[in-house]
Amino acid sequence: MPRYLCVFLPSLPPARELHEAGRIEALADWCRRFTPLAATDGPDGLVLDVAGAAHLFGGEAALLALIERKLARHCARAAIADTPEAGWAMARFGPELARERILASGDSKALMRAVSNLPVAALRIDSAIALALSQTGLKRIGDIALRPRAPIAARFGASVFARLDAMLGQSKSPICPRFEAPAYVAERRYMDGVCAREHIEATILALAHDVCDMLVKHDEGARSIAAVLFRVDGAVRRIDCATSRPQRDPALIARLFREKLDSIEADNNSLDVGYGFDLIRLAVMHAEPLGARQDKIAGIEASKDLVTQAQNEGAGFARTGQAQDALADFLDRMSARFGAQRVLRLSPQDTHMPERAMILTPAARGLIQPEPPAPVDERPLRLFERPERIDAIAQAPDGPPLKFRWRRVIHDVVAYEGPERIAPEWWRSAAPSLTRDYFRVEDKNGRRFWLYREGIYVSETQAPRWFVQGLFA
Amino acid sequence: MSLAGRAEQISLLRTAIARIEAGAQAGQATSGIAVSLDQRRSAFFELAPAAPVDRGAATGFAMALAARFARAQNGPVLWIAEDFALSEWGVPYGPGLAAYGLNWRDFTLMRLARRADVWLAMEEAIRARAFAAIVAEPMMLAGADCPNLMRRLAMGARAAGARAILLRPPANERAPFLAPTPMRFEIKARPAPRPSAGRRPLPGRAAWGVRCAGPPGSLPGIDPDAFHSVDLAACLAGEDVLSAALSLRFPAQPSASARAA
Repeated sequence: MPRYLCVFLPSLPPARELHEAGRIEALADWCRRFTPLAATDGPDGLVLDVAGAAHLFGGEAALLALIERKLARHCARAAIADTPEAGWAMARFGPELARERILASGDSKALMRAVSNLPVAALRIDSAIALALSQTGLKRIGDIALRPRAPIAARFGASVFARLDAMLGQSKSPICPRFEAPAYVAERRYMDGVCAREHIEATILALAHDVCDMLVKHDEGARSIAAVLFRVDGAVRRIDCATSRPQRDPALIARLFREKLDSIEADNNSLDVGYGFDLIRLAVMHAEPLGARQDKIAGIEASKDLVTQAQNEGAGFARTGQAQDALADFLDRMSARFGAQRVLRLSPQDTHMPERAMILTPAARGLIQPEPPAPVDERPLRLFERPERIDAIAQAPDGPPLKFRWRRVIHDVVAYEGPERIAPEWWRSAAPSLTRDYFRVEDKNGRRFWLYREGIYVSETQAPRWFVQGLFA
Repeated sequence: MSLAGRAEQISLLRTAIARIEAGAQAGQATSGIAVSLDQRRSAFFELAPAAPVDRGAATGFAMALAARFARAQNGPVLWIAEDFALSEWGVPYGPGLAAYGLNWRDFTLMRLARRADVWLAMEEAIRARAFAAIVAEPMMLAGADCPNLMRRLAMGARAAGARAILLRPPANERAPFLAPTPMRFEIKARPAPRPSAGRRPLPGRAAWGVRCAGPPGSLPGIDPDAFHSVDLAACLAGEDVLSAALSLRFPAQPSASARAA
């Protein structure tokens, strides 16, 4: 059963007056040292799911006291309850004594007793509704809970009882953590902050061993891993790595993070260790089953039959597992170093618009795409990201180009093929777009271009425009 | 050491220096690596378009080479390009690869922000031994991209058995060819035989004029000033066409003795 620890920070200044580390999001990240499920709750509140985590800090009372002490500069008040709404109400309107703000788990009567004396504003309803309820004599939550619902709902809206049900656990009200819950977590805590790069790397390697042990037990491999570094002054640094296939080799995982740290240093965006990191956590955010694979049998490589079979399955080149491993490791390392958006593979799309027919997607995703339908006509080897406007001369407004000027060079067309008409995909965009007539042209020097004329003469436009979109060899 | 011996040593050193200087004047790489490079085992290719507008042709030639290596080694192709180069000259287009016999699944593109990153990625890719061909496309070459860097990449490629192709901007006096290998080519577009649709000619298939820009005498029997004709159709149909055109054997091809074995 989930247990929610809600924190109220009454003296937290508005976000615009704070530097980055003091913002509510930064505080939520700091709270992730207690539990991975931490979320912000409005501009002045935090909510943590501490089920299964509180005992690591000496129990719920000790954890609550610890958080209040650490956030004392913001006059923090915390409460623990079975529902986030009850926790929110107790943190703001509950008794002064901290231990009284911890509601017993699974005891609905105790919960009802605890909240019934709270003002209706503790239901987190609109202030106008709360004022109206008070004016009619319904000042406490207990006053509402014991009365027939229909008349109150008819007069003040259904939100009053929706909130009440959520507070009492009669309806679900999940929290929305800043980061998803990891599948596997390992962490190391230090009395003194760790500053040296080699110590951080060694810690990550040790944690990778721990995490990989867990993965082995479940026969899974990590696809997405995050290293979270908690600095002693509360700042949190998160480093994400993704792999193109399920991975559970500690050395490889550690190497990915080494690449990432290298890139952080290379970008002059130093890690900023400050006084050091007192908690380093390695979390597998996403894991996938890792199928057994056998590349060699007693030193004999995979048989040629298997290779041929792989070729027949349309995988392009058939390769041994060793070659695939080398490729995947390289892609992962480069993605870690330069970013996933820098290491790309082609991905066909179900569209006939040339610029969208084959897009680039991060190679680390490792998705297998179906074979796209072959285009009717030949396609260029290079495609400009934005078609370039050219000046073209044609015999007729809807005829092929005779001559065009691109980048201040005039090209005389001696051969052409076209038009290949491609209509716009009207269902994709609200703005009307024009039909394109594509021409494959060759100039007198043998240079080949892919041009198009935008707009059908008369029916769509009076002045069609010409563009060059690609280059042939 | 006797005076005669010392004089002999100094004379030898002077001869060596003169040889190096002569080599440098001829535009060739000056290290012992370059001298000992066996063209038949070259692993590093430097391709330059004859003019900026020939970039499409040079790209096609690089792709044809890469596809050739990919088929020979049964491996994928990596294209590493600077952001600026892709913005200026376009991104390699998946449907266009089919004409070169390349499957889009076997093509990986790295687009990097800085030229230094391109070299770093190229070196890593060479070491990884995961690709049949690696093509690097910087937007321009500057002082930092010195022959030493090229030599390092070439040595790495040779050691790893990788095929590295540098697709560079046009060469000129201020930016000469840098690769320590005879495999330096200048590429320009060339009109190909055009099929006709009735009276109207259609554009021909890819064809190139290729000039071997290696150091003088590095490719025996090749006129270093002439552009030799190579076309894609012939290149894809038979594996010896490029060799015949250039009178040299590419590394992906097994030797006659190896074939016999």
